[in-house]
Amino acid sequence: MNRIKKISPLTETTFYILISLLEPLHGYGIMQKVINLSKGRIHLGPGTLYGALGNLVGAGLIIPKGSRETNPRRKIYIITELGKELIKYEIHRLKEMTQNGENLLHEKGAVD
Amino acid sequence: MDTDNRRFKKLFKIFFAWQEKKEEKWLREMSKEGWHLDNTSFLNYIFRKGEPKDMIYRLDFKIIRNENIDDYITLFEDVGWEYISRVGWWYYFRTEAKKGKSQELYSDNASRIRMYNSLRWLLIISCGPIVFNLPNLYGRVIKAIGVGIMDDPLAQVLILNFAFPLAIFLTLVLCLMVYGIIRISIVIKRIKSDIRE
Repeated sequence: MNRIKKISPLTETTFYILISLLEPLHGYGIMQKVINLSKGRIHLGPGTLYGALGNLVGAGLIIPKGSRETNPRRKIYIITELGKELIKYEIHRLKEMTQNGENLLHEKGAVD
Repeated sequence: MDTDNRRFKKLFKIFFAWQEKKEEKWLREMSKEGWHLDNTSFLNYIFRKGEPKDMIYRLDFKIIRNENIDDYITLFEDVGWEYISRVGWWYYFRTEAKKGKSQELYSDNASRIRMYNSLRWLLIISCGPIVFNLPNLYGRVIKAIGVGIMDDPLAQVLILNFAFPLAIFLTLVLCLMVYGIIRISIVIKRIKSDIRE
């Protein structure tokens, strides 16, 4: 748990990459998935994605998958148990965030 | 390559590590005139003559192990960036300029800052050997200049003709590197002042 608290909060980009990897994907697959999930709002730059994958592997949140069936040049990644725990923690944190936002907006009468 | 001069053009041009945006712009202008970057080496650019085209160039600074380069380049190629060549840890990519198409390698500030941070670290570490050797070098020079204290005239000549220019040269290099570190720090600071992630 402490380890997770140290990694949190993730950037939006990193969060989306992490949840994409609940299924095994290579870099390009992740980009496509994030575009779909965010309804075209987030287009990951290749530099950003490559860097994020390295950092996520380094933090033990994802691992490269052994099999390189289709193309040996493309690494496939999958989330780890630690990564899944972090997702849960982040969802909890983000819920608290949106809940606080909504509550205060209502209280202060900024929303009808 | 060197047989057909009209199809290829080799240019020598200096860009410093903190001028990559300027370099990207220059390469784009060259492409608009029909000279497309074909290969690069340290301070050298080889262009190939072709149809004038608006091409966006991007330089990425990335310290990676050799066995990961294929994986890295494939990712860029998958999203429409053509890999041209590399100089040290700088990788050259280009893509056709099109409306609505992303022209950036980095899509958020956090990763942009990371790239500049690694570049800054490389510069800082590279200063190390110079900083380490300069005091010694200057010490010798001062000793040699010091009214012929040295008993050995040959050593004095060697130091004044060799060590002294070297010391001046290394000092200039060091100044340039410190200047670069400051420039990159300013870029990082500017990105950090952006409220976006």
